[in-house]
Amino acid sequence: MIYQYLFVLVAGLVAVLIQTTLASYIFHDSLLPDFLFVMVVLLGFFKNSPHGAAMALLLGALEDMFTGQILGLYMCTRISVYFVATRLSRRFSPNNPPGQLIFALGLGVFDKFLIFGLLFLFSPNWGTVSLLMLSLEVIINALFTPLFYPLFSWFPGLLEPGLERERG
Amino acid sequence: MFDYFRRYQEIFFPLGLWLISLVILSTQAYSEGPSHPNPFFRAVTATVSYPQRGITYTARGIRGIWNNYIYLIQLREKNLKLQKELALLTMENFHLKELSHENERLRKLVGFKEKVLYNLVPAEVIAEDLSSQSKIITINKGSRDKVVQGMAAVTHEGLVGQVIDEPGASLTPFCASVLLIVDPTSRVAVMIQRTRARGIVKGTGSFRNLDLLYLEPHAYVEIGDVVITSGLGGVFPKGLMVGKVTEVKKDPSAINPDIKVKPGVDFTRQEEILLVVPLLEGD
Repeated sequence: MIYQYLFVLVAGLVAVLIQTTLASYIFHDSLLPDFLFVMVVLLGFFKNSPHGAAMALLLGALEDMFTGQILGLYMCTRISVYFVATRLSRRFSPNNPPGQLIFALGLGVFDKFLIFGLLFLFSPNWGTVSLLMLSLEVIINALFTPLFYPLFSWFPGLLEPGLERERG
Repeated sequence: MFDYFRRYQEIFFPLGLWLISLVILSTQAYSEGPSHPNPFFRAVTATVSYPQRGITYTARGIRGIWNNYIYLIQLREKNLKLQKELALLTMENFHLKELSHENERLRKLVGFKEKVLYNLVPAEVIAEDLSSQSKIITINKGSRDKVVQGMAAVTHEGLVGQVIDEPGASLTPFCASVLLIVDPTSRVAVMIQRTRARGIVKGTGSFRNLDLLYLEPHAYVEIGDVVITSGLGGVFPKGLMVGKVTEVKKDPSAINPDIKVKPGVDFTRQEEILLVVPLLEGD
């Protein structure tokens, strides 16, 4: 189990490094992909256990450490996204790329809604946001989900035994 | 009871973690006074800043080669030096304009003179914020280089932002976080250079626009007016270029007009900045 936590932590740190350094070269400055969100969505697909929730919290804490917003914002939203992803993945199969894309789109909208809802509650002076940019960001994150899926499923033990059968 | 929780642990465990994170969030949001990152956060940020430097410098290097960097390396160094000089001269120019305005108003007071000097410390941008909504950059200078919280950051084009030390944007010995003036949480005390009308510039989250708020109700503002720091609040030195007024919408029912300001700095191409260190007498 410790290797799975280490894998998630290292993958999270790599995501942080890419996102904070290279992403602005590839994407627009106001339109950056959120790889940590994609990882939480995949965790929701793969791990329906307290360990999955703890890993989602770990990724949320990592995001909080490198984002100048209120501490705890991403821990709170990532746990929520993880929880909804685990509940939904039991009812609908996210095993094919189009399914993953649709799942990530829905969860992306839910995630943004939560982030700005919490910011509105806890930091009312936050200001305005561009809906177009947010929508594009949700789409970009959703497009990355099927691409990251094979990488995550490749790691031994991350996909819980029997979970595939349950979904089928 | 315990069996019940164990049976539904997939639900109760995430719920428990969610409640813990909500408590952390509300504690942070409603804490009195400024909150600072804990030593663990600082250590992680400082450690990660090294690979960030490596990746950023490599990416810039590759881009530099692409742009004939090898042939222009000396020119680039010279350019950096000239940029520093230009920034100093721009600040001096603004300062002189300030003095001229003051001189006009205080003609009778012969010999009135204000003298503020600054030293500029160059720093390189090594990383950006994880979230696209938050506009914070990480620079390669930290408390080891005498960088302190609240220090203003400029370029030859104008004001960039200020050094902050908060959870998620730490000031460490090896790197520091700069809150850009375009960040939605940024507020800068400003004035219109021509009319001396004071107000507050608020970030919008967009690199192209700033909102000018709380301007005096009868202040006369025109498109193209230069907006400079007023020095009130004590964070930014007086007279730094912030931007130019691009839009003025007057609503008879509103107390203040809706004014948009275009930042003087092009934030999309930020690679180097200059930190403003006020020089005390005797420095």
